[in-house]
Amino acid sequence: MEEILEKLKQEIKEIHNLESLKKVKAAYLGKKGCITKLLKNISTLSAEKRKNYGEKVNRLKREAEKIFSQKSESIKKEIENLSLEREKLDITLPGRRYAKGSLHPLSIVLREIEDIFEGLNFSIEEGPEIEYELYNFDMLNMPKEHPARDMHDTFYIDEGMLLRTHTSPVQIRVLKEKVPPLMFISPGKVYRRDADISHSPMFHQVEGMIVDKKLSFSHLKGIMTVFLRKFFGEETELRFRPSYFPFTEPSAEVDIQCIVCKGNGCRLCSYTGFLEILGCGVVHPSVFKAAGYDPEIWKGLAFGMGVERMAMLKYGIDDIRLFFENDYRFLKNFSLTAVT
Amino acid sequence: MIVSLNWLNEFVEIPCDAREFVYRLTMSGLEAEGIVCLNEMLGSARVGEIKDIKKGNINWVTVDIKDKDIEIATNLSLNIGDKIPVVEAGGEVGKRKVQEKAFGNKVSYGVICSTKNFGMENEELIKLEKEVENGTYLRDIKEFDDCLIDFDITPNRGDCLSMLGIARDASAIFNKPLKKLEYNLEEERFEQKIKVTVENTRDCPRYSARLIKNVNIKESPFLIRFRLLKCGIRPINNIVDITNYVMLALGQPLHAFDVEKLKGSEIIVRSARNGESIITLDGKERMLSEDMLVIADRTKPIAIAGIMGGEETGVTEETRDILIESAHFNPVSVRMTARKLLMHTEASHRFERGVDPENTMEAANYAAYLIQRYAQGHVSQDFVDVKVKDFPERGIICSYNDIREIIGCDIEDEKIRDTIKSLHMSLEDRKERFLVRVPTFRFDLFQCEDIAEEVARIYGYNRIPSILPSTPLLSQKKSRLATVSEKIKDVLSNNGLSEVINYSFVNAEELKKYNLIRDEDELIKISNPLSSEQNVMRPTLLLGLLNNVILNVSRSVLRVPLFEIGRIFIKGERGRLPYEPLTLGIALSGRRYEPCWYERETDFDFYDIKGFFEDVFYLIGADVEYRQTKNPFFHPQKATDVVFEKKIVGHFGEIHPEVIHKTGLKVKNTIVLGEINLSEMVEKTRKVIFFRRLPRYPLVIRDISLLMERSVQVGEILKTIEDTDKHIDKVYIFDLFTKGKEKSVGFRIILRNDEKTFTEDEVQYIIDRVVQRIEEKFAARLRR
Repeated sequence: MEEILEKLKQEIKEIHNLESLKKVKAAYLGKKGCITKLLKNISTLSAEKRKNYGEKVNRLKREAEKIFSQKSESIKKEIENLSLEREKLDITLPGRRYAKGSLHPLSIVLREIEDIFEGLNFSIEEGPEIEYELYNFDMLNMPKEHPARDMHDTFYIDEGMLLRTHTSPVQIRVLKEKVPPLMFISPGKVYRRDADISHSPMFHQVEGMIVDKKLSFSHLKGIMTVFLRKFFGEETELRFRPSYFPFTEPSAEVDIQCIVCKGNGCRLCSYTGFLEILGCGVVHPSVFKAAGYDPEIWKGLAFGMGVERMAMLKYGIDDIRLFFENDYRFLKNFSLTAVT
Repeated sequence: MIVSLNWLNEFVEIPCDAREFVYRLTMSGLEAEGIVCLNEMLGSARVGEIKDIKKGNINWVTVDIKDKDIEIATNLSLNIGDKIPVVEAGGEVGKRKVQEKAFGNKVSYGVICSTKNFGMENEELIKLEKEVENGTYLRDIKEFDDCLIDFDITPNRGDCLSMLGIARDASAIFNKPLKKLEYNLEEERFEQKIKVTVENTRDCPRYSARLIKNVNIKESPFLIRFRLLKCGIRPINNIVDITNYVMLALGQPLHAFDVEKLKGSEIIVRSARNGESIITLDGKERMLSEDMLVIADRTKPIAIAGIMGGEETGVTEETRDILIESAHFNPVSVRMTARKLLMHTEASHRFERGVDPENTMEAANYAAYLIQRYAQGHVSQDFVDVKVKDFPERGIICSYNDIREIIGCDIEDEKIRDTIKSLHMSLEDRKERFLVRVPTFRFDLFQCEDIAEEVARIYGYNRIPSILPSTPLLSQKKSRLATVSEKIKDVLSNNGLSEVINYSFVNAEELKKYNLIRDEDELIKISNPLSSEQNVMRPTLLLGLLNNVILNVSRSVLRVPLFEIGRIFIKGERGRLPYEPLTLGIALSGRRYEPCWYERETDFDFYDIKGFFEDVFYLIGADVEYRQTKNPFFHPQKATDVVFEKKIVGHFGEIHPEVIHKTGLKVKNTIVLGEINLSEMVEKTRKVIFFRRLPRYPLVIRDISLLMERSVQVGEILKTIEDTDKHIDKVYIFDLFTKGKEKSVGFRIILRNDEKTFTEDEVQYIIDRVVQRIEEKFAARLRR
């Protein structure tokens, strides 16, 4: 009987379809199958042998049935796998991607700056790009005969109007229209008559102002430090050095440690280890007077930075003209930049 | 302002090396832009004497460097006997190796060094004194052991435009006393006198001068020539060089007149007369007007005060007697005149920023001494000093607490007092307060804030604490316009467009060429544009975007989907600011998709740009209408005006083939462009988003297909369907094709009933009415 099972196993080994399996099954378990025959033989045996024989043959039958059902399952699975295999995809083919555009790098940097200041409770204010000379210069302590005007090469429109050379006139407008205390930034386009690899006749500035009763230069250091560390990284080293702006006194220029050489000196920082990044100061009393504020009561802090410079440092762009040439291949560098 | 550390040392002791010096001064407000350490650049340069010159395409000179003669090729113009710095091949200069170099079949065995080899900016020949021994290494000559520092002097610090001025700050920073210039002037008595009359005392409150006779005009000594070269000034002759030298040393611009050429031995300082002119030292004729101050003789102007002298009375090789002018001119007057004449000189730069009125005699005397010594001049004991008024020291009252409050730092009274005194100001204590007297050379100190800055900068900004202000404020929300425009940027950039930023100025001619303006008078012109390419403010974004497309197509970019959000500029009333509406522009050209395996290659068309604008209108919450455009920039049949609240707020579509032709691009490039005025739309819209309940009963979907003339406007049919029954929730166009003169349009109608489930009859009734209305109104028929 063991031989029968061995033979059966050998016979079904190479079978891969249900038809053939059925035929083999009939040869063993069908009406004329060999195991069925063995069962029928039971009547020819004596009573005492019958019990033992019957048990053995029945076990054999159950064993055979089990083998057949297992084989049938495995053939079914084989067939199914075969049909899935025919659906095989090339998983290395690129996926369908909806076209992505990009924000201009200056927009990205502007947003980042605005976000930081909004987080510090600053509002955002805007003003016209064509301004009165009065707002752009005179009310900011830069009368016509003042050599400080040489710092701003200006485009003039006729009749006392010009292209604003900084967004400071927005500060004058806000001072005149709103009630202090005030905390705001004024982002926007500004214009100066200058064009080369690092100067563009149009560029972007973010200027800011705080007006309150008790403010000192040390508060300016506080705000600038928080902003610059958020923008350039918490480890950024800063230095404040005296400078001159007609509308602030004391005035300072803020340098960050060179982001390329980390202060060791390289071409980017002209071997000084530091990069000039923004200007700031305590609002000059004559600016307050021009806007109708009593400088004995109100104190102010002001600052300003060039967005192009921040973007050039951030993305390693070495020619300011690239921002306004608008080569599509340049712009596409900045797609999907929401997370940096 | 370039400072020679050697020279500076004659005014104050510098107790540290050049780099430390630069750092300390930068950190106290005098920013150094560059530093050239000459002594590190000399290498093996030594003194050579020119023995022979063979001129040709390349000049060949034989140079004696003591132990031998070497042949050198050079393009510098030299004379036999000149002593110049040379480096023999194999040596080094300016941190670079010098090698033998073949020119044709001849070899040059070294290099003749100009200032450039030592890292200085201008290229000038350095001629040494004849007495220096050939072969001497430059590093053994004192004037070469020097560092040059280029300070960027801010306009408020005119007092720092000299060695003396920098020395004054350095003396405060390093706590070292100023050294006094020592010299001994010998005077003689002459019959000849020069009379000076100051007519315009407002613009010339002081005029000092010295007469010097029988000067010997020649080359200046090496020390003076080399120091001028170091500071970027080219030596001319001893008299001119000395006037420049004293200006660099003391900050007082001087001028030398040739006395024999003065008409009538008289100097008159007066306003110019209208119609007068003068030929200045640079050979140019300058037209003068009565708001300008001139120095004149009896007959005519001989100098523009504080700016430049006249050619006729200038010093020449024949000059014997000279008058050295050392005056104080009104900064505003000099500035206005210089601006009007478009002139900027070393003198005007200083006068505009303020020159110490109490130093004119000292400067004149120092110059006279130098002329006596280096030009063998005889100085007349009679000197001129017309002083219209006294120049009192300005007084400022401050309190120690004011200073501390402005700075936000606890600096002790004593420290404040010492700092102020170290800056050469006198200070008198008056109970809680004190009085500062500002010296006459400072033109930037008027009030307590100014004194606070002086204290803070010497104390050190980095020692002041950083504190966050506690201003109790909540920031205000951004304007709707700013919020909406940022949102639009997100939507468009996420949907495949790239943002551009173009210049706000454009070329008026180009606007005309592309039919973007009718009348040039509408434009806002820039009075002083950098170039005619940028001479007017843009009245539209379309030109910038069109040029972006042209640039990209010309660089073989096959797909150009761009947008810009920026202001355009529309002329306002006379004397009033223009209207600057924020405007959105879109430009599409070339392939709709990047090359890929799942889409057919097709080009952008009208419906792409319309889709983008529809998203924007939906975002703003604006209902707009479309009307065929008459704008000549666009294709008359493939573009539309956008009408909002009965006003045209924009237009978009394919641009006119004629415009494409003018761009020079091939016609197969379709370009789709458009812009809309965001300010106008955002101001008049609100968008309320309110939750709409999900449908409670099943929606019913029905498709109908209709055949109609090609000219029928599908937008009208859509409106008609939507109007037919209140249960029509949404209509889609799911199919569209043309066949001969007809087109077939498939509409998918979604029906929604919030009260009950539709019966088949109710649905059929609505659809029948839809079909019937379309058939009647548009002569369409149902496709079976």
